[in-house]
Amino acid sequence: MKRMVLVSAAVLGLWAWALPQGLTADEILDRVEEKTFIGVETGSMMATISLAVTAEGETTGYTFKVFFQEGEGEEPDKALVVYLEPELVSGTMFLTWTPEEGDARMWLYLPDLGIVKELVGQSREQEFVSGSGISYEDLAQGFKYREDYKAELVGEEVVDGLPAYLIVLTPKEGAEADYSQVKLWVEKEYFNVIKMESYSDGELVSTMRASELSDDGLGYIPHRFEFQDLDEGTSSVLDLLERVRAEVPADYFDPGKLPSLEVM
Amino acid sequence: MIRSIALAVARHPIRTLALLLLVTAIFGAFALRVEYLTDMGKMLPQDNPVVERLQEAEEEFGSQSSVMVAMAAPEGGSVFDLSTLRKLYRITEELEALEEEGLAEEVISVANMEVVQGTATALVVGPILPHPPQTEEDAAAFRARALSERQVAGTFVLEDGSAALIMVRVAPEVSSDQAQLARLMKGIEEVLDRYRGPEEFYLTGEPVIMHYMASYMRRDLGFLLPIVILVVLTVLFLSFRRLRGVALPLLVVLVAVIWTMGLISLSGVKLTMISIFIPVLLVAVGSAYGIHVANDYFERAASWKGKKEELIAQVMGEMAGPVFAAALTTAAGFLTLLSAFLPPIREFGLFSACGVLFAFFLSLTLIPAILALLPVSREKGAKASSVSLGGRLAGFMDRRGATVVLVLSLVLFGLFLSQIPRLKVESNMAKYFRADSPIIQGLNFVEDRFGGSVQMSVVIDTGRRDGLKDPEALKFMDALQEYMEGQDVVGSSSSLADLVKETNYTLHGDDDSYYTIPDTSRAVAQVLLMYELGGGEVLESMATRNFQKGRITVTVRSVNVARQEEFLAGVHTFIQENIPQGMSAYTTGTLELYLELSYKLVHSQLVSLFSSLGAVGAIVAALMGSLVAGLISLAPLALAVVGNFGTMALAGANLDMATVMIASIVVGVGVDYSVHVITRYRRERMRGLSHRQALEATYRTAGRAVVYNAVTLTAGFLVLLLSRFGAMSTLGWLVALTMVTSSVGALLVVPAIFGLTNPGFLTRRAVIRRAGRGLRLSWEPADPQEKDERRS
Repeated sequence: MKRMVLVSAAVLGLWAWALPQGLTADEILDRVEEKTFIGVETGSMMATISLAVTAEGETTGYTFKVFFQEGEGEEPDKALVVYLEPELVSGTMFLTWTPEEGDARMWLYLPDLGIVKELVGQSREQEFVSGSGISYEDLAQGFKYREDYKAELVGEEVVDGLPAYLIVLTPKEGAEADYSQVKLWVEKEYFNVIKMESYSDGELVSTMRASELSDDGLGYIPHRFEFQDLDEGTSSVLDLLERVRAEVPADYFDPGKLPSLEVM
Repeated sequence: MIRSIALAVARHPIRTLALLLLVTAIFGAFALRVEYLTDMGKMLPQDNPVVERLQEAEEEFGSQSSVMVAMAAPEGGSVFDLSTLRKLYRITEELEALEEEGLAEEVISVANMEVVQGTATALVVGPILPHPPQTEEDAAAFRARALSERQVAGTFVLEDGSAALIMVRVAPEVSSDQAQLARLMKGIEEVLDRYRGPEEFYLTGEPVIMHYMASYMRRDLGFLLPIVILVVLTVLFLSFRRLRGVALPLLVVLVAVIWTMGLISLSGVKLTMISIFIPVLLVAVGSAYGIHVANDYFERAASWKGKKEELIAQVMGEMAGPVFAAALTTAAGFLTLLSAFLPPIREFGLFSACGVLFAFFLSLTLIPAILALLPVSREKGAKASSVSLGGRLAGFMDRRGATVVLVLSLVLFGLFLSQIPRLKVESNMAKYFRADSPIIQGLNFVEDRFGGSVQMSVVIDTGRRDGLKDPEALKFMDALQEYMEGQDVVGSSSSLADLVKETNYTLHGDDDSYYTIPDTSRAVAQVLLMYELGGGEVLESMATRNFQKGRITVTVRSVNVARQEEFLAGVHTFIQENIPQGMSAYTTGTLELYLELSYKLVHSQLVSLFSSLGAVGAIVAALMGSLVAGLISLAPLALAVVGNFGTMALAGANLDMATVMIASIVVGVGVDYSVHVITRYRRERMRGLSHRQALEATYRTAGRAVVYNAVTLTAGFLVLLLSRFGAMSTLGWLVALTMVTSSVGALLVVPAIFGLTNPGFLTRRAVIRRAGRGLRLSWEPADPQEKDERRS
């Protein structure tokens, strides 16, 4: 679960207009947290992502189509994840409704059993692919860096040829933070997190590197994220294969319609 | 040569003592660092297939080693009562802190275990009640839910509410680390102590056994050793009635114990519940050499007129032979345990042999060095009674006594021999404890209520990734579980098949017709996905991450070996007949270790018995230059060994890791009596004495030392009755009994054979002559008159 911080930082890799010099850590994080990786400002969109999770020498590959709709007003953000791979679970659909505050609602449709079930009482921070470090919340809303941490801009460094801000996050007093320290390298031009290190009691426990930055028409973002959980000995690679603005029909986000849905 | 060494020692006693003190200090420093080993897996040869399979399963599925904590409801109460249930929640929560400390991998009880529950539209995977019950209604709702769960009722809580079970799965590295295991057990006991009363707690499981074993071993070593020393001291004093007679043999064994323990530590070997017995054994056995040397010294000193050094040299020259023969045969007896299958028994054999040889060496160096510093003892000691007793016994044995003794011996031999087939083998470590120990009480409670405590696993390899999602594989696992649970020895079983069936059932609105494995791999995979996304976790203990291999976990009752063997054979047959093509399976776990131990114990027993008899007989034959002497020396031993096994069968004592060593101890130690009796008797006959005169002289000298020695050993071994290990107590009284039978055999059976057969080696001396370019062994009459007759 701790790894969701890393994943969030990556999958939420944002693009933004360059800001004037002399930003504070909070101002930089404002830019980073402005959008989810799906792209909040697009309102409604579709993406294809692949995820390879490696544990104990075994790699499991997943491919998903993700449909996203930003909630308007009090409406929750809605995301439908359709499993394309592995073959045994292809066609399975996972629907989340995530309000700004409070519990998310989640449904799973199992095509071979023809069953839709709401998953009750699940934490929004729970991983949606075992070992991936990606939570339901990451998928729908992105990581709220400053919920549990306070940020400090400690300098600037060049990472993979890109000038970047180095921000250090430390837990707020009384907060139940997963790490004793988190270091973020935020590239200066588009405010994407391109490197991240998390420490527990001074020991490096997980890392993230973002790469293949390019403009896909919706923004300038990384298309590959590599994670390592040094504690668990697992790693995963997430590739953002495709991201397009699309009008997603409302049926896609209606749990009752899932069994009859023909996904585009 | 021994005489010149003794002379040198007697002339330089200070130097000798300084050197011995230095060596003792070095060994003593290492002895203090000796460590303990209680991990049963480590007690077996690591290349044994059963051990390899266990290690393979632990690598893939994690440790199966669990502490089982049973909570018994108060009399007339129930674990579903609000106050007891709240306690169960708090205990579970506090025990979970052990996970954070890295001592436990997982704590599972009815309070925190995740169950799949659902409605027509929703599914929840989570605890039965996510918070401790606050009201009687909460408790009642908890009871209803818990008892409706197939995986909970009867396994983690009894339907009548009389008891609940908490499983603390031990982290793998903790199982083999004494200090860590002690921390874990302390942590568990501290939590339980806070909540004890009126509820009671019972603990069992392999880690509990290992922990108690280690603490009992330390306690036994610290408690029994001083008692054995005190007992030996008392017996020696009563025997010799003088300080030197007590101090010299005792000092020899104490130094030998320090050297041996130092050597064990220096060799990097850890003490096991078998080798913990070495110090006690050495104090009892090793004192023999000092007793014989001291006895001979007092005998000669009473009338000695010459120089002190000469007296010492003469005693040593005279005693070196028989003491060497005794030490060599004893060491050989122990060394035959090197052929044993179990490393702890091999280590016991090796280090006991070293200890015996140390005691021999010290009785020939330490004793003369000390005697050289003291004035010659002129006391007569308690001799008169042994003269008259020896005379009467010799008179009896000279008449019809020899026939009576031999006939009686043969009858007893036949009687005990006929009982041996009834002897039972036991390898369950729990059975090594006393019936009133907390271990046995915990074991009995858990097995009575929850059906079993011995862990067993069946590992299924489908041979391909996601193979466990194939309904054929899961249906096979399900059928195998059904077969096993149908056996009276099985308490419970669990596997991925249960989880899939339970989730499928819940997904279909608790429809009983769906408590099955779905028909397609896709459906199985989707059920598992639902389970995981619903908050469940397919545990590492159930399936490998790639779903190629799965494990069925079974708890088996501690029934007798034959029934367990029959059960395991049935499981193997079921697997063979029903496993789907392309898949393979193997069984592993503590049950198999116990069974493997049982087979090997019997094998070890037979090998060590015959090899020790052979080795000891051969040594005696070689030392006496007579095959007949070797065979006669074995007669009392055969009687003692057969008597021992017959007594075990009659008393219901099992052949186990401790009692398997008796034969070698008896043969190695018991032959000393024969050696001393034969040596002395032969010496007297060579001096020209008649059978009766020689026998009387033997009883008066060597006979007395044999009795002192046997009484010392018997009393020493009887101290083991105070051991916390039931198996050691049994070993103690059985060895004590064999010390009596083998010494009585040496004092009566051997002279009876001599009286009736008058073997030639008693009156002839083996002489090595030059014959041409080689050497030839021939026999020469010891009596000059006979020599002349032969020449003429």
